[in-house]
Amino acid sequence: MSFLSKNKIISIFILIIATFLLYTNEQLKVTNYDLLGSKFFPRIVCLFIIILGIALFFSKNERTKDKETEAKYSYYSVFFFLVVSLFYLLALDYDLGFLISSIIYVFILTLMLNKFRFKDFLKIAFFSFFSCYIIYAFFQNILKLMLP
Amino acid sequence: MELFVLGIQNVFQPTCLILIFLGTFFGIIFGAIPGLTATMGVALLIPFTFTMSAIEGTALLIGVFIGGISGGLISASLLRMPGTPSSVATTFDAYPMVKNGQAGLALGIGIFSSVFGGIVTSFGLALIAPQVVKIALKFGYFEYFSLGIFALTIVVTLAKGTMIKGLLAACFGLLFSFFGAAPVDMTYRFTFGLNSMKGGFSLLPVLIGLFAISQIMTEILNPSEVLVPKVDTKNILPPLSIFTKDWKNLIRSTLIGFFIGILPGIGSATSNIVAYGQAKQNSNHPEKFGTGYAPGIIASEASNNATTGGALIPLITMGIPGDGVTAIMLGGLMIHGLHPGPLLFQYNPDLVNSIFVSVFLANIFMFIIMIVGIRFLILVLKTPKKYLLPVILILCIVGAFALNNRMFDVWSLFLFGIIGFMLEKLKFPLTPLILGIVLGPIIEINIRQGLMASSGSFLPIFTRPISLVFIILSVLSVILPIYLEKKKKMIFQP
Repeated sequence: MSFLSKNKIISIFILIIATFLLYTNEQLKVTNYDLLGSKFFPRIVCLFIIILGIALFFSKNERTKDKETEAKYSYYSVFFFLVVSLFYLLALDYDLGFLISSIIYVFILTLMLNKFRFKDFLKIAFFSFFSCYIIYAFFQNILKLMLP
Repeated sequence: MELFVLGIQNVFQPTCLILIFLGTFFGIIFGAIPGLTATMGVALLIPFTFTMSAIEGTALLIGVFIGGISGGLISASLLRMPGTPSSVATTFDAYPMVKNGQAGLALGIGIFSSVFGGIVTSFGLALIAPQVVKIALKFGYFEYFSLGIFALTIVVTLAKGTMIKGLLAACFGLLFSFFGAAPVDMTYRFTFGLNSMKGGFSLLPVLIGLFAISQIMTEILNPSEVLVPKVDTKNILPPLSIFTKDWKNLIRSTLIGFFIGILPGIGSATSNIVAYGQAKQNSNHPEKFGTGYAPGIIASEASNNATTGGALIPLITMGIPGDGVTAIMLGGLMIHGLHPGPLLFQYNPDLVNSIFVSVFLANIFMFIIMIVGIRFLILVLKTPKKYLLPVILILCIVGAFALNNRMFDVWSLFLFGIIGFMLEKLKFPLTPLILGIVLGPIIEINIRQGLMASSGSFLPIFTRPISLVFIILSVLSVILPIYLEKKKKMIFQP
């Protein structure tokens, strides 16, 4: 049995984050404008997290009711989704244009969810274009909302 | 009485009725789409009210308000993506019920509960608004602080079984709420040198990220081609016995929503979770909550619609908006040359009574639209995931950006989507995190300002009666579940 159970790994991670945030908080320069100050609540919460993190370290893992046996393929899908989303957000941030970026993004995602079956290529392309265009036209022209 | 009849006469005009109907319909659509909110819907329609009379314009906005809060039920139930912050608790039981193939029943229970909460508080609004506001006027800094602490203790009830992880989630929620400019002295906390962090995290992108984006990622893992394989479109109207057996929960949740709505700055984001927590705590079967249990849906939906009526009370009686939507509506009223407050009752009694009638009618129209639309809404579940999920994603991104017109909110959306996905895989509950984010600013601002007002004395927390009541309730809220759990284990131990 591994020494580091799931809860222990999580608690170490939490303790590192909480300690880092506590350190960052204590570096703040604040004025004594009121009794508690702006460092008080983050400090208290970070200390609570550290105490709870230690409690989690010594706690037992929860019993899982059923085994989660998702295929490795699925987590690669999630990773792929995140990578594609990152490029999409960068495209929006660097002014590629909402419509073009979204059409490409929706196309790739739909293809991925279709398990990359290229026989539906035209259908997916058609869907990507029209769904994004309708959303764009509705929000930009009818509701007059600014789009990314 | 004559004034009330005048209000009915004003509202029961063809134009006004059509406007309430359209407003409610528009609001439901806005509430149903994750990322779009009732606040946004009201803000978008205000320019259209310029050419209308004050009564017609207000009636339209009230329709959007009530439709928007109610519409959140749809995406919360069918997709586990709360359309609005007021539907977070609805996802806990409505979505499992949908997954069990009872989509129509889940929506039906939600709709009936919403209508009950909305209509009861429309009567409350009409009959007792000026009296109830006297209690709200007694709420100062320490009362809000104690209320925030009490609401936070709901975590203990919600996180039963995973107490440490629930408390950790709540603490992280509080911590995230501290990012950005601090209240009182505007010290920038946890900005890490980034200008975009100075504004902190907005609630809506966080909420959509934690629920909608993480749910999308979970669905990507799921090999099924549709969201719900088996969909029951026949059993839509819930049996009356569901509500008659649970009448205490229904009334309690309505009252919780109503009174929380009266308090400015709290809103339905808090009321639905508080009502759900109270329903679970007072239930004979708390273990059934979260498995598709009707009382869970009743609590959340009755309270969030009840909050709408409550939120209008401080707006009309004191000119203080009860929540974000009523803040926008205040602008709408002022555009028509009206100044909400005590004088509104004196100089515009016809408008005030028209508001009461509009609230009642908007709830009726909401009921009709939702009941008729259920069969069409359920069809969403039959749409293949490969088409549905990307569209939902784009709508979430548009909604997150539309809030403040900044890309930072869109990045936050995905950041919290990843956080939500990981938390769920690691068996951390999400609700305490949301509760922490919502309540963090309320707790901090009020205690800091309260201490400034009391010259540094903490005594008013315990000497002011309303504050003391909430502190006692907080202690009981923490101790009672733990004590009852231990007592149950002792009884069942051989």
